[in-house]
Amino acid sequence: MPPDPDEAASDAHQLRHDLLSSLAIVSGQTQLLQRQLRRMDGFSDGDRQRLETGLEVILTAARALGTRIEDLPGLRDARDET
Amino acid sequence: MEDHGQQPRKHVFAINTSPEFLNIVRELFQEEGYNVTTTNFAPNSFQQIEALQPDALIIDIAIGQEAGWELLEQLSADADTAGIPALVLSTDARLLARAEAQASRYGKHRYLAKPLDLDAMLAAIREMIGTP
Repeated sequence: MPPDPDEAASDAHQLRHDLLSSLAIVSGQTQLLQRQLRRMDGFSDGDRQRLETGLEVILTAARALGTRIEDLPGLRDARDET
Repeated sequence: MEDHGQQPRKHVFAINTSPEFLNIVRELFQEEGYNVTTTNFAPNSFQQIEALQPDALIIDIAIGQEAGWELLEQLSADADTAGIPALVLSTDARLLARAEAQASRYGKHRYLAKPLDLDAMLAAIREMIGTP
């Protein structure tokens, strides 16, 4: 039996929302740590640089993944049908 | 419901289904000096807001769940809560744009699409209610 188009669209819509919501947590927590790191003392310059770089890498990857999710054809259609 | 502030500062009330999201909001706004209350969507969410009279709301609208929209409508229709500004978040920018166009139904609020930009969230709250 072929999938119900409405049900498939709904599933895609929910999947898109779930993926972006999880990504929002990763992104939000990373930004929070970046803000806290800027206020923290006691790191050597090298350690601070490594932490800043690592958090920036996470944030950049999360943003790139968000863009990929937005552009996936099945999920993009789900957004357009909202 | 958790009340994380003790001093009479500007009060932000955040409501969401995700405890991780609420932790981020709580830490962010507490660090900036706001008094923060976080809670999950519940049948008595409206009563909580009406009783606490926060300076601003942060409401995350989940796809497929009516609770957020119903709460906005309820707040907008009640004289005691209609003046409380809200920052409305969603993963669906188009949905937010439609809601923004229906201010008479949902209230005149600020809308931000996720993923979260914490600086944008802070800026929006500051624009709505000022610094703590």
